[in-house]
Amino acid sequence: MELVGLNAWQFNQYPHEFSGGQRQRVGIARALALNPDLIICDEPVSALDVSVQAQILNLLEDLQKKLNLTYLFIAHDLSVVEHISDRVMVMYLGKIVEIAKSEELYEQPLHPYTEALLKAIPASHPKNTRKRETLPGNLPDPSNPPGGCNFHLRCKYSTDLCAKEEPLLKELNGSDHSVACHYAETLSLDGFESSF
Amino acid sequence: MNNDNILLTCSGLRTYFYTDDGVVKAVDDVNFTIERGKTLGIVGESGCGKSVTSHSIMQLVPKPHGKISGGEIIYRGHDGEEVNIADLDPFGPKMRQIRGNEIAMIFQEPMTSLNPVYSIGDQIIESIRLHQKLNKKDAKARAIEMLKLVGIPAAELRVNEYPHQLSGGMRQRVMIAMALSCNPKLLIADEPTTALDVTIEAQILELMVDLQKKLGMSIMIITHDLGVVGELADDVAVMYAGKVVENAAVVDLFDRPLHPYTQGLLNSRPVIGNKKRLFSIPGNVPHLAHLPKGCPFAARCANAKDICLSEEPAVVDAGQGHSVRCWLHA
Ligand SMILES: Nc1ncnc2c1ncn2[C@@H]1O[C@H](COP(=O)(O)OP(=O)(O)OP(=O)(O)O)[C@@H](O)[C@H]1O
Ligand SMILES: [Mg+2]
Repeated sequence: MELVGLNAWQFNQYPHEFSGGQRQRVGIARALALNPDLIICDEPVSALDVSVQAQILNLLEDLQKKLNLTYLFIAHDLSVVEHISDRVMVMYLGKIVEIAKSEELYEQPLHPYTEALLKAIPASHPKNTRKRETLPGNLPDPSNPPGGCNFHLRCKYSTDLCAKEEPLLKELNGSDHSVACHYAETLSLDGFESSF
Repeated sequence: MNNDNILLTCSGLRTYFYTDDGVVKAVDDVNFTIERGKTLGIVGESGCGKSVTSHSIMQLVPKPHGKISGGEIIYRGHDGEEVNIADLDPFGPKMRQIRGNEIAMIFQEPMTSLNPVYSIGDQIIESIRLHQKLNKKDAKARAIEMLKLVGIPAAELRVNEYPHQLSGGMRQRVMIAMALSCNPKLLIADEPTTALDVTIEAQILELMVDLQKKLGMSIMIITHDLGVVGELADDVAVMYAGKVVENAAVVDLFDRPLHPYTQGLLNSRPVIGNKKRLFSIPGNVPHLAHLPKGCPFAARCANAKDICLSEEPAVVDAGQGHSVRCWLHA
């Protein structure tokens, strides 16, 4: 418990007596108690406000160094993902659409869905008028996916080929960057740009 | 500021819970105003009283433990008539007319506020008929119109579907459609996008801004996402331990944060492209039933002085409608 920043005297406390951040620490302590090599963190900070989020992310990084842990970190918030990850995998409708080193994915996305995600990141200052781009349409029904590429109905680059044939995930010229898009090699997509 | 532009004013609002553990001062002397057609953002640490503030405005504080123990919530309706919501009977006709008709709310948990056994159409129709004198057919037409307005495709068909048949983003749109079906003057949205991915979040926020322009309503948005606040809000109230510790126009707050807690929040954000260790505010929020003497933030504040530990700071006017509750600025 001390490893995760809780006090030993809190041992006998009940969950409702902890704050959101403390409860998250209890969850981490419980995961660590089994001496794992890999910890799967499913949205570990999404219910927390930024100050508690920073505490938990720092804690996870400290523990990673101390115990040589590997994390599989699942999250919605792309600035959190970028901060904590070495490599990032993007999924759409149950399939991997892109995997790359974190910096590379943010600077040079190769899948149109990844590009759309990066364009939807909110600006960090209200004076920054960069407009968030939104995708047309809704996530299709996973039990009844559209034919061809799962993303083609919402993709501004899609062609007839995309409606017919499903693109396979493949690595691009030995770069440790894989993508599932017919046009990965010809499209030139925008990376994340922060103007503030 | 011209009083006619103000839709709602909270002054000295106190909402307490009387528990076995003592009195939980969930909302303790909260002040803010919401202007017509404008958006107020409320941010603050989990448990600081954001939801309880909104429940107080709706007169939905759970009885018998919870109670509005002081202060006023002045609402100015379209005819200029002033009502103090804090004085109204939660179940009386006046409050029922305000709740839904004039002030509508999107709750923090959409799953729990939609009933799984009724179609979404029936639920919207019920809420319309509860508040407006429309027959069933007209209410249904209105429900479909609202679903179209919030961007639900094939609304005529979707109206007969059940909540579990919809995605998270669609369900949130249905909640918004339901809240807007009575043309409210104020929409309260409590963490409306926390459970959604960024592309859907962007859609929902864009929708809220569009509808605000179209219908001229005011919005009070509760969130812990400062990016969302920066994008949507005109004014921001920062809450800490049941109090508003800072209140300012949004750009002014980001440019000139005065309260050490607000500064800490802004500095705690991860910035893309910067992998440095994150700044974090040390320590935890105090228990609201056992608040320390002085400023509730003092124990975590790097700049605390002696007086911060002994006396509670008053609200200080920092100019340009910017106010802060902090001894460092007194
Ligand atoms: N029914 C209740 N009985 C006792 N205490 C309560 C009750 N409801 C809320 N509280 C307390 O009131 C305080 C404020 O709660 P509130 O739900 O407003 O927090 P919040 O700011 O909305 O937090 P979050 O960001 O987690 O939603 C909390 O400390 C909570 O424990
Ligand atoms: Mg809440």
